[in-house]
Amino acid sequence: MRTIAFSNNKGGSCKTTTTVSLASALAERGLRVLVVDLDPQGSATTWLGNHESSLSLVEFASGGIRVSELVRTTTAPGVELIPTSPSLVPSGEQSENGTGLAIVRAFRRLPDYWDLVVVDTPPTTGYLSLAPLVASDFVVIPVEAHALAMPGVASVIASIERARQRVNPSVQLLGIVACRVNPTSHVRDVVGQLRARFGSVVLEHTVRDAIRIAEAPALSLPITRYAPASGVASDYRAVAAELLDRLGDISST
Amino acid sequence: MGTRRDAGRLTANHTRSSSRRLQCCGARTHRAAPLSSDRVPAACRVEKESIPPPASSSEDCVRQLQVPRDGGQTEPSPAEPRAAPTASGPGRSPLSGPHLGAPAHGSEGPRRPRASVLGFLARLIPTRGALGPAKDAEFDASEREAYRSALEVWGGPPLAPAPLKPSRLLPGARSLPAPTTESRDAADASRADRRSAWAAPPRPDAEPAILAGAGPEGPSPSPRRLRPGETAPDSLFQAPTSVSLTADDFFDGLIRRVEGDR
Repeated sequence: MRTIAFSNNKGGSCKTTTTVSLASALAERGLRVLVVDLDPQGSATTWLGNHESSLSLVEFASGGIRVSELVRTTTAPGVELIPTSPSLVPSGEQSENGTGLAIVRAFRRLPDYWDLVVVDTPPTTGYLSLAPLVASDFVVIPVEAHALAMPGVASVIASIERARQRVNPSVQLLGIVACRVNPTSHVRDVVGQLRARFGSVVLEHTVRDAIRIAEAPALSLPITRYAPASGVASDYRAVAAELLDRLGDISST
Repeated sequence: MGTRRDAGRLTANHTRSSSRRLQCCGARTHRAAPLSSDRVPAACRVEKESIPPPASSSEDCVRQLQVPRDGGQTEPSPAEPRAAPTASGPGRSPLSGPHLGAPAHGSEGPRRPRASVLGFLARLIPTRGALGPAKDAEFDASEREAYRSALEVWGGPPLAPAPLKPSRLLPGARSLPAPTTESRDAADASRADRRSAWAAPPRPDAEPAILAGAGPEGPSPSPRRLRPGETAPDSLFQAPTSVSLTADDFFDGLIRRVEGDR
């Protein structure tokens, strides 16, 4: 089982879109995928046809509940979900560090049932986006093809470096996915700048900007089910294939 | 007892009946038909001297429907100020229609059923409340004047006024013939004048103060674009310092907690 965190400190960088769409595309290839929604906004939870839960990884880490009480089925075949929960936000005597540690321990306690665990993180630099860097094997940075999205990429890379130095030396940057790519010269420039700066870490395949991807969450369907023949669904399938190539043999771990 | 529901029903009935009766007692009908003064109701004669709301029709209708004048809950208290009986007043265009809700006769006081009838009739008559051709022409003239004065500030030659938009054309002007060669030439000349006026540098003494900060070297050059192979500035790829500080704080806190648990 591999754990991949989708992280970007900038909002609107297609984290949730990429998490849900790639999870569905990976499940199409026969993989068992678990989506963990750590964003209190719960967009991934809603997109996958669920509501927030009163239980979270925090209760699971303490051993109070079983994983079957936590995991839900979704509108994407082969994809299961741990929904977001209000208990992810510490209250009372709980501290952010304590909640962050509970999340890290909960990831360690997850059974080796799924092939891939993908984590949707909030667009902040806080314990909910940093804890997955401790618990994950890989990080994928979705980035909107926009000049102001570049500092967000730099922030995540800086956080990964800190995590590698201090708590999780094995975490790796799996790739940078350029999203909302449209045929304008500015977007071409931005993608070119990303490749010039980060090299082959930037995935060859990009995800186009399309209204279909904006419509899909309204029906709580992943793009691969809402518009399976669309170009943007094809883009996510191509990105999924490229990420799998980079992951190597998943079954060996 | 006149409840609000009764008043509403009466108003609705009255609206239907007044719409049927519009041809016989509307003020417009009186004006259009060659009625002698003795056939015109007295109320209408009075109102025609000022701005005439079709008060006679509404009054007749109200009387026929036997709406109580005192109106129960609809009657305002004597302490409330009554609306002025004149049609035009401060802040109100004399060209606009009758003041809806105001009594046509000052001595009778405001009555809501009657006011609603007035409002209904005013909606039926399209010219009421709308700006007339005279006002349109006045606006156009003032617009042209403002345009000319703006050009004078910039030191350019006065330009021909822009052609009127179709919505501003007076009635009947929609059937104007197609533009001839001469008119097209004039329009082209006008456009050329406009281009040359804007291309001409403004007089230094007439330059607005807000533009004076452009610098002594003249207007700033057009924004530059990245050339192929040119890299974006490093600042775009720098993470804010707070990111590293927050990450360090969180990771160190985790280490302390784990060590504390041991």
